[in-house]
Amino acid sequence: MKKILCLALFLSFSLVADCSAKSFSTKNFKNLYLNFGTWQEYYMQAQASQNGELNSFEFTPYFSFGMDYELTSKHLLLSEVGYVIRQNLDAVTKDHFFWRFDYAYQALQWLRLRAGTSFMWVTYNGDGSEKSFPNGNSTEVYYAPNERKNTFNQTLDFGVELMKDQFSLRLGSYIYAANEQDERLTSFSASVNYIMDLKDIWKR
Amino acid sequence: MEKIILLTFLLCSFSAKAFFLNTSTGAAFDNEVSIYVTSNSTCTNAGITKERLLEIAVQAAEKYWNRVPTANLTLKRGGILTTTDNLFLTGKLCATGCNAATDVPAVNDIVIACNNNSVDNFPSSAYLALTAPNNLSSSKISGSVILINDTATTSFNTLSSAEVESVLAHEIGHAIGLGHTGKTEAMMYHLNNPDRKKLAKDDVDGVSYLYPNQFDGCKDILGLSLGLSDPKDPPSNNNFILSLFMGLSVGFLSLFGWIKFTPFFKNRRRLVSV
Repeated sequence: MKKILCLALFLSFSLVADCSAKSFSTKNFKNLYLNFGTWQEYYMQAQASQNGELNSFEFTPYFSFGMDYELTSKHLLLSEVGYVIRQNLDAVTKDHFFWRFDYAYQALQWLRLRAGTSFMWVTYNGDGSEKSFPNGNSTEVYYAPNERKNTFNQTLDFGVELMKDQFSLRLGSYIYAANEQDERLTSFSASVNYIMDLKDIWKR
Repeated sequence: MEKIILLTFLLCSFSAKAFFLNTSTGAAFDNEVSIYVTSNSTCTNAGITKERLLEIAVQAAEKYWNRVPTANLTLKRGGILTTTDNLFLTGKLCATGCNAATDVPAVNDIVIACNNNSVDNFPSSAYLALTAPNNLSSSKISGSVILINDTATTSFNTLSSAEVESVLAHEIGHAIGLGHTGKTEAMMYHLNNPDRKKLAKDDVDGVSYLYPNQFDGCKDILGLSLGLSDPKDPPSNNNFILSLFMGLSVGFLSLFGWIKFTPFFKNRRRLVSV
């Protein structure tokens, strides 16, 4: 079953690639995007206090840039690379990079619906320092990580983008383990985007 | 404007991520670990049967640690571990340099036992349980022992089912390699939390660090998509889709770069249009 699914996917993508190649034109690369916003990791899905409250809004800045390829006037492909600004405390740092590949449907002139997938790369590092914490009636020494480790994930993404002239407001959701109900977690993003016409850039 | 953006970055980029580990080498199990309860655990003072203890431990593992999509860890039910070794019930828990005559024996996977050693393990009722990886080499844990306080003064018997689940989830956190943290909302905070609903982000980061999801892209693209992968070592579907997505993205961007910057292509296009 898995092989059939994979073969079907492979053939579908080949077909899409073939069709796209036949009508491919550099003129269809329309815009470059610069995005700045906040990343909401596992919003309302992680414990945030001792009395059982879940994590609410916290401002974690991220930025990204990408561009679109227009298949037709209403259908686009978008690719984007982003970075959630380093989060750190004590002896551990966390860097989060992502790479998105979306299909977008221009439902209205000011409204774009997006769906796609992202490749998430989170890297942790620590200085290997020691720290004492209470343990029963005494204290015990514990250790910060002393080497870099990377964890990779793929997410299923859905988003909506409200557009006005050269700016847009984008809300996105990133579903981890979309096919595993028990493990599923969702992160969100909200960003303001500056849209630049590639024709203007090429002219310079 | 630039200064405002820079200031925003500097002020807002730091939120709390502060997990700590049990060992200085960051020791961890392989990605699949079984949970057992010893057959000789009567747990009379702790007020729980070994079957119930196993049931709650597995429940805790599945409810918390198995639900981290950024970690490649699966905790599963092992069952009742048949043993007549009384050192599980009375021995001292030690991590290294243990004495085979007096200490809890080294184990494989995660083994839970009810222990009544009030001198070495449970000097007061403040200790509900005690955990240590007692079979490890360098950065690999082969086995961890969780001891439940079964002494005459234990307060384990006063806990509700939810609290027992929370205690066992915390101890399993130690068993898989995590240490205590200063974050009060975290599973790995040193005090038991009766209002535990989820892992905190700190816990998620910790288990993701110890058991990271690996990326094995090229093998998946070349193997699974063409049906050539080794059936004994099948790559995950997740990795296949990931690889496909990566390949498409790279192709998409490369094509753009090639077309934009290669004069050859421009000349060829002119010829075609003629």
